Amino acid sequence: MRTRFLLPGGILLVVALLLLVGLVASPVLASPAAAAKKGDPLAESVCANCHGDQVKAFLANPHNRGLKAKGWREDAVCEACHTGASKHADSGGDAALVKSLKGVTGAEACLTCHDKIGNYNCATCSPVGAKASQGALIDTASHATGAHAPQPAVNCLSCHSIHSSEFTAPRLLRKKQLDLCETCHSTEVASFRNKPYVHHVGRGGIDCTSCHEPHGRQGKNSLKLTRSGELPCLSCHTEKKGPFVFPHGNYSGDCLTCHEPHGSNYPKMLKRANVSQVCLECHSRLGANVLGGQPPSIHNLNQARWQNCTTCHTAVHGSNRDPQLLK
Amino acid sequence: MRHKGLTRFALAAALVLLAVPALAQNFPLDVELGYRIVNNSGNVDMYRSQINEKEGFLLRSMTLASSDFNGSIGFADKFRLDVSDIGAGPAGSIRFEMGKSEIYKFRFTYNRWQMFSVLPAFANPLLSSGIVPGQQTYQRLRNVYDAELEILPGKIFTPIVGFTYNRYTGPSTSTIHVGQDEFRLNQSFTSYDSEPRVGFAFATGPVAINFMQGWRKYHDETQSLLTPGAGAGNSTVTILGQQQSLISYSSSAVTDVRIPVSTASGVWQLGCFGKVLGTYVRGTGSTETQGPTNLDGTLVNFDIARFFGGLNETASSSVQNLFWRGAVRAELTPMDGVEVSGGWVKNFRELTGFELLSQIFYNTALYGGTPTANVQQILNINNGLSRSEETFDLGVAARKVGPFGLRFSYSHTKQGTSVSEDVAEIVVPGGQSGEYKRAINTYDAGLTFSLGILTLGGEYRGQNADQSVMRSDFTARTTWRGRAVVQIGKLARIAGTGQWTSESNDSLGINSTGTFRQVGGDVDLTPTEWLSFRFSGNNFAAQTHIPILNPINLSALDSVNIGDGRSYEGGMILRMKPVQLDVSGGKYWNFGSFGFRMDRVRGRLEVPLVKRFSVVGELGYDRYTETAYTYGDFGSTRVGLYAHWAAF
Repeated sequence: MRTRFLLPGGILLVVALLLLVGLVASPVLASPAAAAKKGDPLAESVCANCHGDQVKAFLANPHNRGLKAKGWREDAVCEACHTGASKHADSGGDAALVKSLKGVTGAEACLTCHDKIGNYNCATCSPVGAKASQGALIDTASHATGAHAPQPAVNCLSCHSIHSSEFTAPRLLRKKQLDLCETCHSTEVASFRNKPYVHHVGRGGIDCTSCHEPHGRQGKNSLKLTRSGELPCLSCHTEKKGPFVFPHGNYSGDCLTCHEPHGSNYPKMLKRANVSQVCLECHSRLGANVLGGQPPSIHNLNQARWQNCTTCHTAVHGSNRDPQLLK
Repeated sequence: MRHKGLTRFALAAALVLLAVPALAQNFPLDVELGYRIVNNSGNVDMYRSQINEKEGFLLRSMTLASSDFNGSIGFADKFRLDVSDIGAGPAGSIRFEMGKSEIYKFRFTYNRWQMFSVLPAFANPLLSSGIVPGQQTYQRLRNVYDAELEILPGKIFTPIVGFTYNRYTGPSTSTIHVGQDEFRLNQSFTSYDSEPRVGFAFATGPVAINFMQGWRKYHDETQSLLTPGAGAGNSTVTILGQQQSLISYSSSAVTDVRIPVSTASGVWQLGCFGKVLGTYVRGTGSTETQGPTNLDGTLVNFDIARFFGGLNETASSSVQNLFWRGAVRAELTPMDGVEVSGGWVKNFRELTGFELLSQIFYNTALYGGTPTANVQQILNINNGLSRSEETFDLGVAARKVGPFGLRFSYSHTKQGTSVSEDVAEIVVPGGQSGEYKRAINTYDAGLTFSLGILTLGGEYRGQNADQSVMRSDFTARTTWRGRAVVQIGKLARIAGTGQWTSESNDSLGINSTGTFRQVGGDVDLTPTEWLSFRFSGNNFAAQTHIPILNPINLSALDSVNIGDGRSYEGGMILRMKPVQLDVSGGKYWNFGSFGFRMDRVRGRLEVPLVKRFSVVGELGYDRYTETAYTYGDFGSTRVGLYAHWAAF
């Protein structure tokens, strides 16, 4: 059971290769400082006179590129979100004349372009860049109507920051994912941090968004299903996906019938301390006509070897060899 | 092997270090690279089963990103590379994005996990005999690669190609039940899962359509051999006066799965009034498994009513699987800030399978000891099930009623499962075929309030079901969730969260109940820009009761699970230029069915040496102590020293 604990060489070669791609690409890319040196008109704009730091940070912001691509004048992209910016500047800085993006009303500016499912601009009554390639199961996700759709308590700006996002957190997030989600979902994050049996979340392993779609709908629709519609667990745990001749969890239950994905006090992230408890709570016929409630076998639960069900029933996730899931 | 790995690491690190300064001329860059030392005490297997951070070189993090093209014409105007924890495990990732507006978009992700499980008390029938660890163990490495290229993104027609590859491999130990005893096996397992896919997105006027066709292939191979010295089995009990034992055991199994999956989805925009969405996914799969088993020993088989001395078994099985998922949904906005939505979704799965099993028992003898001829047994097992789930839902949301946001929804789900007789023979054959149906009503409501420094949120979910398909299903479940936040400028943020769930099933013979409660509070204090504190406390309680049947005397037992956990955490961040210090500590107790205590300390100190370059020290300390056993207790201290280059 010894491991090769020095395995990163191959992976680092890949990283180095990607860096070299970046090196080749570097003539057309630039940091904010380099962009300013090259004379981005925005850096010279009237906005920069007072809001120099924000403008400087915005030079390398994807919105700068995106707005220019959509036809905004290069020195006036601020106006795209901050309507009235020109009047504000002309007035010498009257704050009442410019739209400051805060809270739920501020978030509406984001939806002008980021309503993930087929955008519509009511001002012109025309579609604006419907993003059809946003993923296959699009009925589950929407920026405008999903679980985190703009409302006073939570909105786009609760998680994303246009001018001061965390550089090492992609997608202009305010913080790294686990810290950000913890703002509201503190009990789930506390489970990840404290319980002994957990996924390695936030340390290069998986993140909250590996399984959840933050712009998805309430309830189980916020889960990122596999391409064939199963729970996201099976995106990684492919060997448990089947189909099996003798499936186990495919009748009514699923992975979450037995496992706690946000961290468990019990081995294998199970919901019960003992394996026999997990099994017998379903496989126990006491008058009810339910699936899997077989009559008990000769198993003598006084003996340890019968209490550890998976010692014999090793193929608990499904088998192609044995109807009793013994192999 | 270690020398080779070190050489590769050094070569790659040199390349990274050479590339970094050159790139840093133009690119915003953040990279942290160094070495981690690990010092463990107690049960290292348990440490590795829970934490598994190992000693060695580590590319702790790296981000290289730019999205400004400054009017230049080139092959990319967006480039982002994020690397996290590549090296001394247990999990790491690389994410790479590159593209040029409306020309192409390329995304590549790589994830890697080193998985280890050697748990002394889990599935270990010999623990009371002082034998540690358990018999179900594994050490596996998973590598997942995913790439997708969109050509002409955002245009009317966007071709898309993608590829996913998932490799999972490594040794393990398991057990085989044969001859009324269990024997420990050494196994090696290798699996590959790949899916190339092609498709397109089409968007014009108010219509957007997406179609993808993927071809999933899965292949795994398992080789099993009797663990040296394990021939006596787990049981010391004789069967019909004979001790069961194995001299040799070998088995192999090869499984191949092929599933083409088609996915189509579309949006029809109804002006500013709303939109209609539709999705259809369909796949047909097949699985083929083959593999021989050979064993020699002294064993008994009740099916053939004989002792036997050897077994040759060949098995081949085949599964055909059909699944589809269809959904239609309308989202309407009758007035600003008010949304009405409703939809229908149906999932359907059908499976037909069979297994052909040929077994030849050698050196057989009657229970009385009379030798008999070899016995051949051929079994043809057929299997089938179909499962469907259909949900209708209707909801209304008013997201901006002054400081309030409100939502309410109702959904009705119908589940149906049809099972043929063989499939349910998991414990004891017979009597489990049939039709099982269940209908569930779900009521959801949510209310948020945000005004000034105060934000409140509350959610309610009520569910009832007419019957259960499985014993663990509920017939009634209620969940309440509440959260309150007080934000006092930048100085303080005080928040509390509570969640209460109760569920029950009052069906005859089940009568189960369950309650779950989780309450937490957290406080962030930032007295100055360079100093902040964080404290949090959580209390978790769960209690479930369900009667189960004691197989020994057929009496009813109450299966009780109790979780009673408390955690307290505290931390401080000091950003006094040029030094940054981040320390935190936490304790977690569980007084429930499986008692234990965990203590944790994390620390990170960053000291700049020259402009853009600093040295980082990291500390991780964990102590895990079980109440009932001491087999799993461990302590661990990790110290990392990293070089940090930040240029942006």
